[in-house]
Amino acid sequence: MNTRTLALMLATLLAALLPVPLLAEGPVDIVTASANRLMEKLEANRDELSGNPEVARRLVREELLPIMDTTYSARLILGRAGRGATPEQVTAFANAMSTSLIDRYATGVAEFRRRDQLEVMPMRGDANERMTRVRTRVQLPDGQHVPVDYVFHKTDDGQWKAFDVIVEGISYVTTYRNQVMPQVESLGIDAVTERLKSGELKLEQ
Amino acid sequence: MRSVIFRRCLVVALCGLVAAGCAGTQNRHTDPVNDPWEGYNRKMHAFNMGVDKAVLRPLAKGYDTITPDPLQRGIGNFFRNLGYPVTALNQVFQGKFGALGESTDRFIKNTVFGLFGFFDVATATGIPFHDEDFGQTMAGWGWEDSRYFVLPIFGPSTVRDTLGRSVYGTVHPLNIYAREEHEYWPIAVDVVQFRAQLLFRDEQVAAAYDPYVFIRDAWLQRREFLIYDGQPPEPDYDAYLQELEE
Repeated sequence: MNTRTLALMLATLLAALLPVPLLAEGPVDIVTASANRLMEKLEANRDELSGNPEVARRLVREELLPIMDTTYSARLILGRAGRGATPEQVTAFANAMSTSLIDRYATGVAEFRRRDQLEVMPMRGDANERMTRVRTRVQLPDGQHVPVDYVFHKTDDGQWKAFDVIVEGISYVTTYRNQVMPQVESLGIDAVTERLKSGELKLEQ
Repeated sequence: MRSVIFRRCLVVALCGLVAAGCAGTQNRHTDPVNDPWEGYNRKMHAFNMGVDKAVLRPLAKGYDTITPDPLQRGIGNFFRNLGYPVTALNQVFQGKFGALGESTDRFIKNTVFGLFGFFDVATATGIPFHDEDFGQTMAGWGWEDSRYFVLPIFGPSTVRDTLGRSVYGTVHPLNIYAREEHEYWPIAVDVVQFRAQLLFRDEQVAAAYDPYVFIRDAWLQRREFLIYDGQPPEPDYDAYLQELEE
């Protein structure tokens, strides 16, 4: 084996090893980056925010939607009630659901003042190839910390996307399954999507 | 040594008492909720909501209106600090001595420097708060899955936590004070203060499609969160997905 072959082998080995962590951004980085961007935007738009909930909604939507897999959340929430629904119906339901959730979330997030109110915890060993949980802590005005965790999964095209939020152990997906499933079973998925859109049905936590 | 024997005996006694509960083989994550008494539970839930609407909620709203936020926070801190003996005892039962040290440190700091717990100086210095009770201890000893059981007035519980609550009642400082001095107003203030902290949730409970299920699911998940000291296993998402694809 001459030096050239060895160098080539090393180069191939490096090439095989390196791109993985470089290309695929980890879930912790995704949460940190989007939280920071959201905070910056909220700070920058502080004056517009008060008395204008639409601004907060737009900012939250811009930052959160790209990192979420709302269709996946929708499928988990629909469970057995989603059998037989077309992909278009599931997508429409997912959009209505995420809009409803983000609108609620935005009213809370507009109250945020300082960046240190949100702390992203380092990853622990429970990450696996397909699913992982990013733990954050939100500090309330009285000094108490509320754990808010984001559950990520790897999509078919290899990206990490969040599909569940767990606040103090209470999962959106688990909680809304039992709220949504019986309705979809009795009214049908399209009717429930319409109720979400009209604001008649609210998803809150 | 004595404590180990005592603990064993207690475990055996409790397990015998609750053999039905221990024998549950279903996985709580695939089977969303252990609620075979739903019929009774729904009736008791409706009764509790009625009592709440007529008595507790108006009291809590009145209290919330006349009490400034910092004072409410102080009163809340005071009662939380008083939960220390219950937490400490259960940390001993579960062998969580590191956490016991932190809770003791927290209790001393808040009692001495925080005006008998009115100010939570420990949180400011980064000492974590631990919440333990007898229900959690029994869960730690193996009685993990207990059926949902709505208590009159007290609301959401499980069979296990109802048993735990009866022990809790005998060692909590407020209960001891009530028993010894026949003074019940501190308990009443604690209850009203606790209810006032939950007022902001009323709207979302009312807006839920099925408020009974909403409260049940949230309560059971929150309970599991406490049992696992903030690190409960994830919901079984794969099972949810399978349901859809079957």
